[in-house]
Amino acid sequence: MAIQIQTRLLDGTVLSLIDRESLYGYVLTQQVKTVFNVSESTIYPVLRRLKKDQYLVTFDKPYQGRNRRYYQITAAGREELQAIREEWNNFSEKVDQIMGEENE
Amino acid sequence: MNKAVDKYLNELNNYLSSLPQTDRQDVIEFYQELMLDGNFQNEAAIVKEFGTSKQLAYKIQADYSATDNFSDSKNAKETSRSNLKSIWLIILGVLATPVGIPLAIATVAVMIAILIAFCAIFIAFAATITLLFIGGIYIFVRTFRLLFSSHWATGIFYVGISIALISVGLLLFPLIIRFIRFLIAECAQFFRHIGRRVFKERYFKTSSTLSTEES
Repeated sequence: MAIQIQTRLLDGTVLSLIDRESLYGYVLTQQVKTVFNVSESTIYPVLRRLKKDQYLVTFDKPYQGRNRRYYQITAAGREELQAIREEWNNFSEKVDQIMGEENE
Repeated sequence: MNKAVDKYLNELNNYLSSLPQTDRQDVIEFYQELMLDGNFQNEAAIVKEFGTSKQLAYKIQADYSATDNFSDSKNAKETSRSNLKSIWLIILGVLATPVGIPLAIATVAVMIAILIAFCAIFIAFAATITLLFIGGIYIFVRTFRLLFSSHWATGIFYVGISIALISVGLLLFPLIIRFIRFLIAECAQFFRHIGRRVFKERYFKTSSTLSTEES
């Protein structure tokens, strides 16, 4: 069984992860994967889109003779995250009202 | 560095030929970082996680095609070409996507049906134009002599008709080209729509088995 995860929720997940601290690709991917069962190739399009919409910026840090690209949230990204958060709270509240008390 | 990763990325780079250079480099750098940080030591491990380089390339290109136009060019010819490219890449992407066989077959069938309808319209127009031209030229060649004979009046009539046919063909030609471009653009739009849906469905799944394992 699987629940489809909307693009918007995945955006929210990525934005809230980098809202805590700037992350590089591997760590970000691993953290998303602890929550959702997504493949690695899922994350790139999400990051690309978020960057294009200027919700995040990237910077490079040298690591063992190569670069790691870090993803950093922008002010616009925080606003977007807040918007997604509100939508989600609203939605999950409604779902809880209907399905939440089954096991209590 | 890591030979297996290098080889894989090299192949990926070759398969991504349709992407603009800067985007391609961006993609390669992203996956290179992931693979090095993830410490993938051999090709089998990489393929298990990312699919073959070809599959990954199809996915990436289809994602580009579904979300972006390749060219922002105002040139109608360029735009049509990039639209056609998008259509093709989205079909490949859907084929490379493990969405479950029935859905993939249904999607591709719908896409092919649309393409066939599209080709039929195209052929119909092409045939009309060709007939106008060929008919015009044929009548012209056959009746041109009459102008210099005693039937010159009949000759003028037919030559007039032939010139009229050719002119109508010439007038219709740019209109039809424009119409075809319009059809291609609409087609691409529709394919992007389907593509976005298909890729979304594939991308974002929670698995309840996974979440029970974790909790």
